[in-house]
Amino acid sequence: MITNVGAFLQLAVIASAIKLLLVPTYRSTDFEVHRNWLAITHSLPISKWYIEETSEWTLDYPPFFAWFEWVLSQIARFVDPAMLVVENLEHASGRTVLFQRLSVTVTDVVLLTAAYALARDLSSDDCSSPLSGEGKSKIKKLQGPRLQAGGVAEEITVAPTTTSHVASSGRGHGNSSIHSDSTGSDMRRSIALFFLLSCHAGLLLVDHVHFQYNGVMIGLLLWSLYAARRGRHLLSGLLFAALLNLKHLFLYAAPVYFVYLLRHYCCEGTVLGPACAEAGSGARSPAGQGSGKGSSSERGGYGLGRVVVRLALLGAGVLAIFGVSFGPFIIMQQMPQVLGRLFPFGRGLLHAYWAANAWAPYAAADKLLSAAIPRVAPRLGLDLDKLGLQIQPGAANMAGGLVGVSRFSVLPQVSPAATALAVLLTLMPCLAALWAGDGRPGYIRRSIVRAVSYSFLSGFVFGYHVHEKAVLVALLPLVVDAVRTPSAAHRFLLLATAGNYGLLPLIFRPQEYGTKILVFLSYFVVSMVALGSIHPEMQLDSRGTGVAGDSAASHTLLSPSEMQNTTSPLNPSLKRRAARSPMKGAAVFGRMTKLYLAGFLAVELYVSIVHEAVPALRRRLPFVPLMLTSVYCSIGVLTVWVDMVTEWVREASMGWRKRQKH
Amino acid sequence: MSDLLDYVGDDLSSTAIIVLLAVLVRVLTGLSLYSGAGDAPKYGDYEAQRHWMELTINLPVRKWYTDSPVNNASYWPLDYPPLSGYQSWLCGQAMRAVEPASVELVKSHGYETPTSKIVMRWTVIAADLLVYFPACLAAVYVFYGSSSSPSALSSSTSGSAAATARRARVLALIALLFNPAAIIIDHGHFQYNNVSLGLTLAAAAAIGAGRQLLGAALFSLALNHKQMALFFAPAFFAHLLGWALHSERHRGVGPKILMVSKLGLTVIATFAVCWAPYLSSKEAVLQVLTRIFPVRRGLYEDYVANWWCTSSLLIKWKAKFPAPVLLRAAAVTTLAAGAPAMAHQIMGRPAQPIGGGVRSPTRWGLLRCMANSAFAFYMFSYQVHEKSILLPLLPITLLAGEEPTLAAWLPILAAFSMFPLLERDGVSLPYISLCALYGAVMAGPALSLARQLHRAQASSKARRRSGWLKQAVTGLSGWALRHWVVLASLAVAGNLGLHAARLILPPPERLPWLHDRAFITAAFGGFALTSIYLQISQWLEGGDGGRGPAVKTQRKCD
Repeated sequence: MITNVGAFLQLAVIASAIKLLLVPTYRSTDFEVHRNWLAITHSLPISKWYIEETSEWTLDYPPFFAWFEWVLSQIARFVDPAMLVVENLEHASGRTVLFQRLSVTVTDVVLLTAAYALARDLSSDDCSSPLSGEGKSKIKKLQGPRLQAGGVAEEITVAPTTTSHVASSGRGHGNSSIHSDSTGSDMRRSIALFFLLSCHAGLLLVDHVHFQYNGVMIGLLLWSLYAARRGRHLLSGLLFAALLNLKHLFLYAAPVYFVYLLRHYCCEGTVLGPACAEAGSGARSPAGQGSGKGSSSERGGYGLGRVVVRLALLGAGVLAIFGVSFGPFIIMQQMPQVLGRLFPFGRGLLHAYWAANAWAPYAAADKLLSAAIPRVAPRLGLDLDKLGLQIQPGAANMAGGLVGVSRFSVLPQVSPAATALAVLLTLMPCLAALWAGDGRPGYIRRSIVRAVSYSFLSGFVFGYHVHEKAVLVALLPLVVDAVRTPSAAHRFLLLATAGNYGLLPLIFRPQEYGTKILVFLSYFVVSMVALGSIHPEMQLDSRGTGVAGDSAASHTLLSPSEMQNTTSPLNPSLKRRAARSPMKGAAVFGRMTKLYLAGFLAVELYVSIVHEAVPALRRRLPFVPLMLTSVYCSIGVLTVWVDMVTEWVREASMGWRKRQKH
Repeated sequence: MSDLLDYVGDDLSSTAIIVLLAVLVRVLTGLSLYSGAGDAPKYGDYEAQRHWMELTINLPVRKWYTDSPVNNASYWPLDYPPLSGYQSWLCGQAMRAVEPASVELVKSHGYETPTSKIVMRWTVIAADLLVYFPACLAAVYVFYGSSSSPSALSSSTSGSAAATARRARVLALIALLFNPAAIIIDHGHFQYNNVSLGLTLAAAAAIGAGRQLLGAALFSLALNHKQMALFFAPAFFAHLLGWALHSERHRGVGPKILMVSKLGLTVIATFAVCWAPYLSSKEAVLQVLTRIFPVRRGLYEDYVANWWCTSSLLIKWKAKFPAPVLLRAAAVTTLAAGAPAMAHQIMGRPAQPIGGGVRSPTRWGLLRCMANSAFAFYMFSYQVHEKSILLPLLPITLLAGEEPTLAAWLPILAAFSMFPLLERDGVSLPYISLCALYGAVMAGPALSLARQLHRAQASSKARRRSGWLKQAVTGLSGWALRHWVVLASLAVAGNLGLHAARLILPPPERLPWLHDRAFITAAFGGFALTSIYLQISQWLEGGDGGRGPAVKTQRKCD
């Protein structure tokens, strides 16, 4: 356990100091959006909140966020009452700017405290203190993550129902290798986790330059994940429900939460529940202490009643939260109006600046084809009209650049329903794996963060009209895994680089160029060195079979041979690298990844220097910098997504196979 | 107590990260306003620097210091020595390349576009990267030795000597690179102090490494960039003289005289190179000199936390005495305040001979003498402004490994003393965040290092043989360190209280300067105690490598 808060406090002060320095930077229209919402919630009755449209930036977040603005407005009126007048469009006095900026910085406390809670929780994760009488159940509760590092191969062949085996293998590992100086390395992990969350470059740029309140909402998400990791499932679910009423972007994770809560909270310890009880909740659930020794029928006997109770508890809680949030609008019969605001149709598949997701290369391909076909087709003797293609003269289409692609000219259109289907489909393996579990204790503790992060990533990759900023909600939860296992560290660094780089075009003024590049670069370098110093163990184990030392959290169910078949480019040179001495820093990456990361330098050079310096390029291909950025970043994002989805497919199939054996 | 610096090494990659973050902080500070932003018709230091660029790239060198219709003595004349002129010329070229209108003769007065501001800001950062940062790295290397091996990093929390040495190195580097007062003046307010400070630091490093002639040349360059480097001149003079007289390398009268004349020639030659364009005639030299040393200004400017300004609350110096008398009084008091430290160096102290029984002033002695002489000038010399506190801060931040608590708190107090100016410039926010950042990073590690050093000091054999003064100082510093948390909290609370009062309570109509007074009086208390402590510690300094007493005079805010 960490007994002092020194380094965390230092980091919190540093993070806040940096945020303060960013006060005078560029503010996007989101600043005016939130000022307008302050004014609406403060000066209008609740019945007008979703109807008022003096400003074009109407309220389009769920009611809890409106209440959040209302609370802020109660303080704002002492600072500058003029900002609370709906008609004062574009009001940005010095005091208003300072107040709004500080409101983001201060509410970030939610993020900071959540990061601190996760950091403390983490350090107890890997602690290898001797077992005391009271500590026994605690160890059992905490052994999960350490387990993964343990004998993975043996685990698969042995039926994993006996706690004694599990505990011994876990303990054995704890003594044998890198965890020997556990307090030092625990502290290192905790501090790295806190740094990666509190000083996240993307969050700094989006919240404190561009202007939004993601910090407080992601903080709430992290609190929910913290509760889940601690086995406080009901709390976790309710926090998530509240979060949904702050920003509906978080809906992407709703299926994961649904399966998780239904299976691992409501049905815990029953016939319907996981084969092995959830030890992460040990203290709170009797079944957890029983460690699944009893037969299914025994457990089912007294379990079903509790399922109903828990279901009712959860359902009532969630309904209450939604009732408080939307109730007034249901009573006022404004629901269609509110929902219309929350889910505006008629926006394009792609945002003006393409988010770095699956649709970016799709749109880029469409653009290339629409430019190429009119030139190539006549030579091949094809009649475009007969093919049903209506392509405007190439130049006109190409010059469009910044404006979003609302229609593709060559490739098939993508409807909102299709994207929703795609997101749901890609979530399936994750949901199936969550339902099956892996039969070992602490499953939720190990997997929930990855599952939630994956669901946001899927939403980002396939969602309709996705904003580039949405990558942040997938990115930040990954930190929790990144400080525990090297493979997650890879993933995090790659996604952070691609995702954060994709945010840079948001801040386009030359005044902030140095700022955004340096914030991005500093975060990249520090996080790489920090994670590199945590995971020096990416190497062959003594048997030389190519097991990546501690990477098992994401490969818990893999045999060594399977582990080598990873399709992602993250691990191709694993074997070769492992022959070398323990690595630091940059060596965490494989060659392909390194090459890809170096490519960002080339992209930046082109976007900021070459493109600007050559007038012909600017005139004829004005859209290239943004397109290049989106497409290049999407490669990294998609790589991580593929990496994660293959892992979920593998885990789902393993989990179900194991279930059928029982 | 664990802190962040436990996880920061002094190897190449850690140093690179520290430097990168130092650049980041400077860029972020540069986002703020600057001296005289939008304040026509005279603007401020930003416009002064831009105007010098405009002058130097449009006029021939010989005309830089000559009054003319386009180079008016009433509108920011170039009043720094020639090296500043050359640097302005370089920066002006960069400005012209990016935005020609920004440096057009006369027409560009008050030119303030966002793009030209970026270029201006980056010229300061470039000066940092080219001069100040390398000097810092060199100085830390010379004074604290090379970095430890990576294996030593793992045992960071242990109290081993290697860990202490590593901690000292990291602290010194961070103190030099993140000194809030220096960052905010150069990158917020807008000046190029980093050039002359960097050259001074490089000179100290060269001398510390045994390259005295190079050091003399580098310090001459510093003097030629900004005459304010004169604050250090007594220290360099005394140290080099002491070295020439006492070093074992030159025994006997002949070699000593030869050494002194070599040093003199180096200085003269460096000056000659810098002044080359003006050496053709006596008039030209005089022209430059009258620009550089204007005696027409007063005893001090605005509100300075030095002796004259603070005591003027009780004795109205400016009203009671004519300027020439004050000028003489300032000269005498400055010399008197600087004399003990100079004597210490010229006499070739420390008292205990090092090696071979030969006395020679040490590099640590040089640093302390620099601090003492700069403080003497700051406190007593003529025409001091609040920014001059940067000069004593330079050696003190380099001393961070020896005097950690002093280096942790004095830069913050210095920024505090300049707050009236910073508020006028509109850089209050960077002031808050840079001070918070520096305090958060430095305070904890500095205290633990100070306690460590003190323990080593108190248990060493030297103590038993030492005189009553040393005993007293060691005892007092021990007491201060034991109660450090309380003392520091009281000081911070006092400062915050003054800030709150300034923010909330409007000053009485008859005393509009009340808050400014309160600020400088509080700061003066801290500076005076520091300076007294430094005077004493100069004489307590042991042999090279011996740790000075790790005390910091307490700051008083009332």
